[in-house]
Amino acid sequence: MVVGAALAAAAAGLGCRESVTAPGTCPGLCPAGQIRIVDTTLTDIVTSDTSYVGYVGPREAPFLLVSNGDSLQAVALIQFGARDTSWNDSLRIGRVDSVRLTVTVTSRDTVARNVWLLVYRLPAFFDTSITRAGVLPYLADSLLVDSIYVPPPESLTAGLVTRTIHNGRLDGIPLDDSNVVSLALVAHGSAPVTVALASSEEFSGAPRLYWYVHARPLPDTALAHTISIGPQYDSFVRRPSATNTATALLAGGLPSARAIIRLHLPTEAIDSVGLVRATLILTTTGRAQGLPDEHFRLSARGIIRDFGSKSIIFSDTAAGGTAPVVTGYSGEIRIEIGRMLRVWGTTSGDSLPRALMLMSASEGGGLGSVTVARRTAGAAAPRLQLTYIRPYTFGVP
Amino acid sequence: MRRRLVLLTVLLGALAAPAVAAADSVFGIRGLGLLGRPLSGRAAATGGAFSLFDAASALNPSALGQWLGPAGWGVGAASSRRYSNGPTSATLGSTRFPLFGFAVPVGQRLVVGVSMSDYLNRTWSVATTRDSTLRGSTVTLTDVASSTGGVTDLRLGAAYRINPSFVVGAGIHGLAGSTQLSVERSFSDSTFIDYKDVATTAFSGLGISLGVQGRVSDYLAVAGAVRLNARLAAKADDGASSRVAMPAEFSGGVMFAPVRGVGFAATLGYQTWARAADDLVAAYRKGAGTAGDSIAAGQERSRSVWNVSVGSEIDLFDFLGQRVPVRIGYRWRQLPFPVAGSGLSEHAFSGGLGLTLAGGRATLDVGVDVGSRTAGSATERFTSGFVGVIVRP
Repeated sequence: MVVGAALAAAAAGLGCRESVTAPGTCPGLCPAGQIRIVDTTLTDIVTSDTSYVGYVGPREAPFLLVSNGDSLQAVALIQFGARDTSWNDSLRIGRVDSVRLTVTVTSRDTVARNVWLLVYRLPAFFDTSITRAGVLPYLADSLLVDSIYVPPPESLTAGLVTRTIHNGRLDGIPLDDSNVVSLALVAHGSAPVTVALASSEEFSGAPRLYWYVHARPLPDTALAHTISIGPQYDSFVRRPSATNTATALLAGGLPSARAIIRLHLPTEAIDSVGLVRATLILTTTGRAQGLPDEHFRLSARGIIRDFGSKSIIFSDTAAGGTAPVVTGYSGEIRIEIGRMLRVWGTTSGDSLPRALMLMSASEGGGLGSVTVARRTAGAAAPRLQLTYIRPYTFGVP
Repeated sequence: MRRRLVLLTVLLGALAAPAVAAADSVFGIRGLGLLGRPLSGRAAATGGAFSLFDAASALNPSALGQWLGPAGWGVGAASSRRYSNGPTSATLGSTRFPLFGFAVPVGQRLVVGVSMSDYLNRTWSVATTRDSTLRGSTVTLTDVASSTGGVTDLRLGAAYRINPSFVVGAGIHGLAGSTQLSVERSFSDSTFIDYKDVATTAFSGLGISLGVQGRVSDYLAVAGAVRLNARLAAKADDGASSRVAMPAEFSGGVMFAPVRGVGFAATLGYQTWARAADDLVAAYRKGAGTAGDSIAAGQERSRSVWNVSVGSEIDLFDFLGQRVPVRIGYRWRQLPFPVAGSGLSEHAFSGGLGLTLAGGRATLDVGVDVGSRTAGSATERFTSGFVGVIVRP
C-alpha cells in the first residue's frame, strides 16, 4: 500500500507536460534539409472542354425577375391555385369584395424612381413553355389589371409590397378557368429597372392572392371570409442571352450552364504532399452577365465520374474552389483548386477523372454567368499557376 | 509463485514500454542526437558518480552482481528547459522514462538482467519564421521541423561474483529504435495550403560491454567498464540507408566509504565519437544530393568526448524506521556533435534522497538535476525531476 501511494505520488509529480518546440537558429540548430518552393505557370493543360445548358431553369429559381432594362428584359409569370368555391360544406362563396395581391421584393435597383409593377392578366392555363415573345401580346392595356407601387429604395430595399385590387378588375373568373387566375408582372420606372421577387421556391414571401369574399346567398353579407391562394406555377421569361458556346465556355445563369474542362497535368501538379497552391486562371470573353451589381461565385468543382453533361460532381464544395465575380466584370478569373489537385494525388484520388466542372456556386440562385475562353484561345486559354515544394531531403540518419 | 508473478509483471512492463527516452534537448537536432544517460534514480542524484557501482544503472554489467534476489526497476523524469540563443528564447518541457530493467540471480554467484535505456535521444522540434515573396505578395512562412524517437539500448547482461570482493560482468547490447521526422510549412496567406512531409528512420546495431568491480580495501572500491559498438545502421522508409561507426566507450570509477552510511564516488568516462565523423559527413553528402559535396566539405565533424562526475551519498536521518540516504553530485560532460562550430558541453548539480519502503521490498529514489548545456551563444538551462522505483518481490 505504501509502495502504491508512493508510485501514485511519483506519477502525479512527474506530470505529462510536453512542449518541445524551440525557435530555430539556422544553420546551427536547423535541420540540414531545406524547403525549396517553386512557382510556375502551366499552359496548354486542357485537352477538351464543353458547355452544357439547362441544369436549373427559371421555374426552379427562388426568385421571379421583372426587368425593363436595355440588356435584361424579363416578365414574371404567376399561375395561382384554384380558389375554393366554399369555405365549408354549407356555405358557398357568393360575392367577392376585393382581391389583394402581395409580392415580396428580395432585391432591386436603387437608381430608378417611381417604380411600379404592372399586373396583366394572362390566360388562366397559359402554356408554361411560353417565351418572352409569346407573352408580349398579353401585355396590352386591355389586360392590365392594376399596378403595384414599389416604394423608393430609401424605404424599401427588400420586403413585402401589397396592392388591393378593386372590384371589377380581378374578381370575375370565367367559368372555364376553374377558379384559376394567372398574372404577368412587368417592371416600370423612371429609368430601366430590375426587381427580384421571391418565388414559390423561396422559403417565404411567395406571391399570394387574398380573396375577400362573402357567403351565398345574399343578403347574408355579414358572413365574410378571406381565402389565401399561392402560386401553383411561377417563373419568368426573358430575352435570351446571345452567348455562343462554340467559341466560349458558359457557366452560370438561368437556365444554368456548366462547362466541363478536362485537364492533362504533369506529375508535379498532382501531388498530395508538396502542392501548396494551384490557381486555375480563366479569361473572360465578355462582361459577366446577371442582375445589376449581382455578386456571385464561379466554382470549379471536382468530378467523380465523367459522363459529360451528366457528370457526377463532388457535393463538397471544398473539392474545388470558387472565385468572386460581379456583373460587368471582365478579365482574369482565378480559382484556387489546390485541394482538388491534392485529392488527385492521393491513392484514393488516383482513379478520379482529371476534370473540373465550371458552374455558379449558387446554381439557380441568381442570373450571374460568365463566358471564358476555351482551350483553343491561345494565350487566353485556361492555365494553371502552381506553387509547390520540391521533395524534401530528410537525410539518413 | 507470487515472486514469479511479480517478476513476470515487471518483465512484461519493461518490454511493453513503447519508448525509452531521456529528457529531450533542442541540441538533439545535431548529429545522431543527444547522448542518453542510463542511470537509476540513485545514480542520477549523485550526478552519475555512483553509476559504475549501481546495480540498477546500465553502464557497468558487473554491477548486476549486487542483486541478491529478483528485482525490477524503472525511472521517470520530467524536465523543464529554458532555451536561449541571442534574442530568441523558449520554455520547454517534457516527461520521459529513460530506464527500465529487471534482474534475477541464477545460483549463488551469477546474476542476469535485462535493461532498456535511452542511448541516443532524437526528440526535438524547432520552428522558424520568415517573410518571403510569393506570387508578388509578402507571405510569412512558419517552418516547423520535428523529430520524435531515438535509439534505445537493450542490454542483456550478466555478472559473476568471483569472490565477495570482485565481480565481473558482460553485456550484449542491441540498439534499436526509430525516429519520425516531420517538416511542416504554414503560410500566413490562407490561399496557400499547409505543407507537411513525414519520414521514418529505423535504427539497429549491436554492442558488447565488459565490466569489473572490486573492493580494494574496507573503504575503497573501484570499477571500470568498456563497451564496443558495431556500426549503427539507419534505414529510412524510402529505402535510403547509411551506416555510422559508433564509439568505443571507456569508464572508470572509484568509491570511498570511510564509515557505514557515508560514501563518496567519482567517475570518469571517454567515448570515441570522432569515429562517427566520416560516416556522418558521407551520409550528409548523400542526402544533400548534387550540392552535397560542397556543403559536406564544411560539415561539422563529431568529436570524442569526456565526462566526469563526483558525488556523495550519506545516510542523514531516519524515516519510517529506515535510514534515508541524502545524495548530491556534480557532473560535466562533453557532447560529440558541435553546434555551428562550437563544441557542446553540459554540466549540472544534482541531489536527492532514497526511501526504503514495504519492509525493504521497494525503494523510491527521488532527485533533481539542475544544469545547462552550452554551445557558443546557445544555452539550454534545465531542471529535471526524476523518480526511480526499485521493487524486490
